[in-house]
Amino acid sequence: MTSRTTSRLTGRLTGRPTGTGLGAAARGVFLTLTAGFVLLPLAVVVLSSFSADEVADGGWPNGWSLRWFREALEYEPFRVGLAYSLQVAALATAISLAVGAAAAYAIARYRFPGAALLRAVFVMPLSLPRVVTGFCLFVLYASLFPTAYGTVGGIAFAHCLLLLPFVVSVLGAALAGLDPALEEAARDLGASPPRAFLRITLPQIRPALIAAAVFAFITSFDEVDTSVFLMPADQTTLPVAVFLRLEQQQDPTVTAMSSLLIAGSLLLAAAAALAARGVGAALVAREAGTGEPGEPKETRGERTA
Amino acid sequence: MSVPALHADGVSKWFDGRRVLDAVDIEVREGEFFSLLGPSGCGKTTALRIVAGLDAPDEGRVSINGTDVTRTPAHRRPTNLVFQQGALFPHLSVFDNVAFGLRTEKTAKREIAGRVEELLDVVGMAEFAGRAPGTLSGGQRQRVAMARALVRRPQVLLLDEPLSALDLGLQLRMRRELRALQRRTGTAFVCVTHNQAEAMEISDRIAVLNAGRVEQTGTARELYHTPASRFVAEFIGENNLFAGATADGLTLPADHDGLLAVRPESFRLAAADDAASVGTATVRSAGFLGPRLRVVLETATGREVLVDAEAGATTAAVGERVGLAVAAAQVAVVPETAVPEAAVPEAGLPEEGAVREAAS
Amino acid sequence: MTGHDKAQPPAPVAARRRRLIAYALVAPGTAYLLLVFCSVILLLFSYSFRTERSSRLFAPFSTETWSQALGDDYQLGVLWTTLRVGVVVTVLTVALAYPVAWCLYRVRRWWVRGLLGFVIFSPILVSVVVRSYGWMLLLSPGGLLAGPLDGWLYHEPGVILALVHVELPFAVVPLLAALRTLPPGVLEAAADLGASPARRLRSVLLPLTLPGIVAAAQLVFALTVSAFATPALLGGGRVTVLSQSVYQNIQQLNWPLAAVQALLLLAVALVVLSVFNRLSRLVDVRQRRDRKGTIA
Repeated sequence: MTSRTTSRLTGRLTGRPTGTGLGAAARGVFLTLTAGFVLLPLAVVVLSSFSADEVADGGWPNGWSLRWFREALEYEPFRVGLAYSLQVAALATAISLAVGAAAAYAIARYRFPGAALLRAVFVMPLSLPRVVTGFCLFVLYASLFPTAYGTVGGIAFAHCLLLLPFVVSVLGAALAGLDPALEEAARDLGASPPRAFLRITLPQIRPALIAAAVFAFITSFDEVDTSVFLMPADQTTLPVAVFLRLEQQQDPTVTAMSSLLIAGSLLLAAAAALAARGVGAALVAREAGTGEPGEPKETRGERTA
Repeated sequence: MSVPALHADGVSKWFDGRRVLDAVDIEVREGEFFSLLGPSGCGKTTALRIVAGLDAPDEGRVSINGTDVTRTPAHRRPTNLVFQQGALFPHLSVFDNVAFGLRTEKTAKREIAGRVEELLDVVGMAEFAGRAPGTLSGGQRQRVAMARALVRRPQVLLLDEPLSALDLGLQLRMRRELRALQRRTGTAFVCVTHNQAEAMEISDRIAVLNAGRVEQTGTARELYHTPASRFVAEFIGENNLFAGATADGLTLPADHDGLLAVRPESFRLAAADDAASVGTATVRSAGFLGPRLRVVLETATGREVLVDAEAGATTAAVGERVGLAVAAAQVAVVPETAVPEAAVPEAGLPEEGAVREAAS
Repeated sequence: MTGHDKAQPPAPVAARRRRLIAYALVAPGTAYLLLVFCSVILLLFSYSFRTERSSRLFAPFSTETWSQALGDDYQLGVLWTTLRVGVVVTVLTVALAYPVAWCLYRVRRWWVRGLLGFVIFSPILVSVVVRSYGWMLLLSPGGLLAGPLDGWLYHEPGVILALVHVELPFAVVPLLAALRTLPPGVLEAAADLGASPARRLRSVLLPLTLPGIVAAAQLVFALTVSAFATPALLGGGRVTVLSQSVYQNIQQLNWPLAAVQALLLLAVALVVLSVFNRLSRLVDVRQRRDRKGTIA
């Protein structure tokens, strides 16, 4: 009994519960099945896009070809849509990062009346259905700003509503994890507040910034629910063009374009992960590279007095 | 009288309607090692941050070498602060950390290298210049933090609990290093600490802070022997406090009938019927501390009295009745002060002595 | 006693300046959000109380559109479908996500955990349109799943299947977070005290992760009722939910009806939000009370 209790206790000390072989195998099978379920629709799209068949029916291809990729890239609405989507995503990401970073910084570092309320206000757009946003902005543009309808600026303006909650919460979390004493130390050493932010705070939240930027870009680039209200059907962003065409018919051109979208998203995500890691890895390498292991990491101290 | 290196004049500060500093007056002389000593929450760190320019006072002025800097932002003040945990920039090397303050003032590259190396040499960290802060031990980080603050040649160096994150042995060694560093640079040091032994060992003068007020300013010796308030008497070292000359079954040799303080080492154990004794008490416990024997006694009224006796010469059996003797010169008169109004939540502790010199 | 009697600080100049900087930093974002929120509310109400399609800001007040939307069987059917799909998808997704999160939590090799995590979360990065298209391909007559799942495409089961797939990662995140806050050793302690696996699940694991379950259900339900592209593509016009109906009405130039339905959609989203918030607070309070009980 004693030895059993002891082993339980050591098991507890290692943190995670330890599993039996049988349970682990069952969990492995279940996770693999789930992964299959998750990947299946993406795999079938990629597979079908290399098909030589004239119709996209989801079945096993009768022959292989790259011609649908060429056709997808030559199809006018997709080409226009790609350029359109890239511009919208770039603009929306830039605006939401600038506006969101300023707000996140103020909420994290300054004490002012209404800070808690603002934190809630900035995540509020999440509970606003995207279709509702789309409808309202459509009516707003149609009745007050006809020139914004169907323009890069008008759509980016709408996308900011979707991106801001995300940007503010990611950057807010990163800033909350930083010791405010670092920026104070920089000011104490003669750096003006903007310089202290640029030289000390910014380099340390860079991974979060990259993550926020990439996710914002992808979200904006892929957006359909709001965007579909804000542009005429003959000139749309890429995912909306794909959507509108899919409403009419399934054809191999759409399949190929979808494959390209999957590849693009995953490549961007991988690049971002590498970039964020690269920053972290550079730091780790520099810390680990030289000499003896140091004492435990600096603990963040509260002011005692 | 020469201009003080640092003068905080009537500095008050509120946080959320709570007064954390109450008309604090501090004068630090040129080349002096000055400590702000007090329990946690007494406002000492806030006072230091106000001097550094990181917080602004709500009332009062701060001047450095005669220049009013009350409205000067932190990055334009001739002070530098050693943060509690060092606050080294984790993404910069030791060299770049120390050089940071010089680069902000556009110093020539060659001069930067020279001065950084010189300072790293002074704190004994020259061979660590290329390392990242994360790889350093606590003591090494603290040395780098000092080099980083000193490299700008501040007129006053501020230290916020510089040794509190270190283990005890290292603390003791770093105290001596800190004092030597101060002598070597000749800069006025203002050090915030809650550790009275540390403050007493390294400081020229100490200001004792309690609940946002300066209770007493003086040398360690003055604070120990002539405490200006009940708080100082209890906070600095150990003390037996008595409400008057005849209290708790003892008759102390003092013609003052206010608060009296007798250090444990000032009492002498005598025979119960010794004519020189000021009263008798029963031994409750006796603990051997090496050079001394810590005897805890209880008087007839149930009052506990601490006595430190020379270990070699004394025997004290638990339950034994002994006499207590004390010389008149060893009885300190502690100025009684009114309990302040409820301006500060932790009220109930005495106010700053209006009659600071009354004891002498 | 100088200054001691003053309980309130004098005008804090520096504090006011810091506050001004803070307000300046949050001003652009706040102004933007307020503008959008206000116009959303004003336009929705303004358009829902008129009958004519016009881009004029003011029009004669009328409740006809409302009575039309709430009296018509078809319109009520759309609302009902939206809610039914929402509930079914939420239940299925959370039921699937819980074991997924549990298994991910139990995986010990970091690279396996990273790989599986990436696989399960990666669809978030891929356009919803593309993911829905994948299901269209799978379910279409010649597709790989057409045999076993015959007739699911353009019918509710197909919509539900695709939505479960789309929302799964969003349910795993809060559940995994809840599992990570489990006090270390509680399950071993329960096992040590003789609890069977089923009992450990029922009396330890589920109660302790209830906040995560509530959060996951809230997120999935909110996302599902407002989903647009997936039901539009998988429903093929035969399954109509509110968000699609809003879009169709805009295309048919019936803005007032679109406004009414957008308001209904918003109302559903907000009611659900507040119900779940109440629920999670309840769970929270109960847990805190229980914890206090154990200590006492």
